[in-house]
Amino acid sequence: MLSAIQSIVGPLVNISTVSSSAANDVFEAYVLSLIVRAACEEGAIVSYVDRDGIAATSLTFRTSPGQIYSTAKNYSHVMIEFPNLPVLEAHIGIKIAGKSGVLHEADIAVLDRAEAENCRRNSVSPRSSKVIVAVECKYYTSALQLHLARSFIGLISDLSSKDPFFVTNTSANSVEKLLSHRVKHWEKNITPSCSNNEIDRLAYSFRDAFKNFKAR
Amino acid sequence: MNYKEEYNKIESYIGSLGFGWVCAQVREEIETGKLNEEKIPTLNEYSRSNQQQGFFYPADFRKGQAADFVKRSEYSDKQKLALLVEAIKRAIPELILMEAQVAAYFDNIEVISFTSDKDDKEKLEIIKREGKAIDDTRKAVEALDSLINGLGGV
Repeated sequence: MLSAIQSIVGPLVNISTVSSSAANDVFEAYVLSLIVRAACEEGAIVSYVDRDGIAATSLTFRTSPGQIYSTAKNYSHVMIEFPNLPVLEAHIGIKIAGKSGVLHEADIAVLDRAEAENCRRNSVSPRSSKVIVAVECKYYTSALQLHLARSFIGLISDLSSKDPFFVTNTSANSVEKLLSHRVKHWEKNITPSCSNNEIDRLAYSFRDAFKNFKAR
Repeated sequence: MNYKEEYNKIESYIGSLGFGWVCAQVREEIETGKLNEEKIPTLNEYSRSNQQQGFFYPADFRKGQAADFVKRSEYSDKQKLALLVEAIKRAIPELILMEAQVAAYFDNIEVISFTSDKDDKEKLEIIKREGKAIDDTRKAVEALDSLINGLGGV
């Protein structure tokens, strides 16, 4: 078995991402691409912008959650424009303020551009009520541990965001049971090799969130 | 096959490649164990008279309605090995395929990188892959799936 693993995995090691945090980063970018795809399918025009407001030719995302107003790096975000509607911004890894005033980490947040701009100008955190879509992303190599789902349930009780999502590349029966009772939007097995249309289902849930935004 | 021995060998090989975190996640799952629901009768305790209270009078339990209880059981050595191979699949080839899809989706973007406010030491760049590298990675996913199926799945 060891020699089989060595011959399968050995040639890939040089091109693979090694650290756990890097795996999470890739997963967040992957889920962001699904959100952007869903927005486009709902009729949005998307563009990429840096912190300084200039169109981005390369994208720089946060590896750990930070403030939307941070000037430490010229981070990028996706601008999502639906005709005749306020413009939205999609960010990776920003802190948002819950109902209690506590700051929470959103792996991906889609929010009003006006709210985002106001926060950048005044160095404050976006209010969760202005977040259209908030996504908690969990990249795990084995079954998802229950405490991660419990934390998410605690988190959403303090968020006013209309559509909080829990998205993972893996699954676990106990986690699924808990999420199905307590969470409106969750999806498992989100990987390019998933076999059960999970990606399409997730993309449709994101489309639904944008559909509701357009109907406001 | 000695599954426990194979598990240890593969774990140390994967750890030596820098994937110790993968082994740690598998160990976490093994410690959690398999959780299944089982329907068993509940017990009701019946009250005793005042004269029958105390240590010398055993409690009177009677079977009640059946209910679902969570039962934990240990993974077998074979199942532990399957969990490890599954984790390797998720950590290496599946992640490469995910990176490739991100790069392909944002194809008009030159570089996608991740960094933090503090420093650039852990900067990650998503690199565009050639078709052959993607085909080889897909074959690796299939080969690992076949090993997992040979172990009875996860």
